[in-house]
Amino acid sequence: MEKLKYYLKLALIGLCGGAVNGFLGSGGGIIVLFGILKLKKDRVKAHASCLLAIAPMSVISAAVYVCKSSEGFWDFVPVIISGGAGGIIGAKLLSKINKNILGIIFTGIIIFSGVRMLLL
Amino acid sequence: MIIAMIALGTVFGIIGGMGLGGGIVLVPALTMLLGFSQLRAQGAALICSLPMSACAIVIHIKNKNVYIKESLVIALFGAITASLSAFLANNTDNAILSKVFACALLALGIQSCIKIVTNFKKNNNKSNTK
Repeated sequence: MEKLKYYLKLALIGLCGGAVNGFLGSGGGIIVLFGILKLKKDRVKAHASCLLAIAPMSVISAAVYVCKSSEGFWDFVPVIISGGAGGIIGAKLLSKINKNILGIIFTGIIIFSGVRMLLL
Repeated sequence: MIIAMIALGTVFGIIGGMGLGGGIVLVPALTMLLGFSQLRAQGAALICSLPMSACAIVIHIKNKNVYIKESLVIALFGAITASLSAFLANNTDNAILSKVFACALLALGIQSCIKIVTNFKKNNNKSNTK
């Protein structure tokens, strides 16, 4: 019974994360991470597991977006390639940069973007 | 345009590589700075996240840093709603999609504000007791 409950919780995390990830194109990871941290203690493992859990959802959502799009996504190739390069830089910089300052800058950007998008 | 996209991609990648949520910054950047529609920006963010997460996942699995069974259960159920909601997004007006996205951004922004303030207080208390 305990085991069933545990799996039901995992299923619920998946259902919520998938819904957000597909509808908004991002953000599902945050929900899944929050969910895994409710069940498991190890933060590093939770982050990594979240990546693995989100990847299949992103593949399926991306496939739907590509199939339904009339204009295609070829013009985003530069972003995709430079994004991969940036990812490697980011992962290497992670230990060298003050995460508090980074968090404040990141928060500033998302609040500014949110307000602008809501008003425009 | 291409240079702007490469610059955006690099910045997004760095933020994503640090685990801060690159996609969530990339979508408003693509719509506000480069004028793409909300739907296309979301699709681009999804596609961009794939190569990066693939690399990261391989490294994490090699290091045995993943709850594999749990992740797969979450992924299995997530895939169902992800495909349904992606269809829904593709049939939703861009203006509505953009407002929903803005609300999600603000919710996340407020949550991280609270986190920053509580962290700041904790550190202050620690330095006071020293």
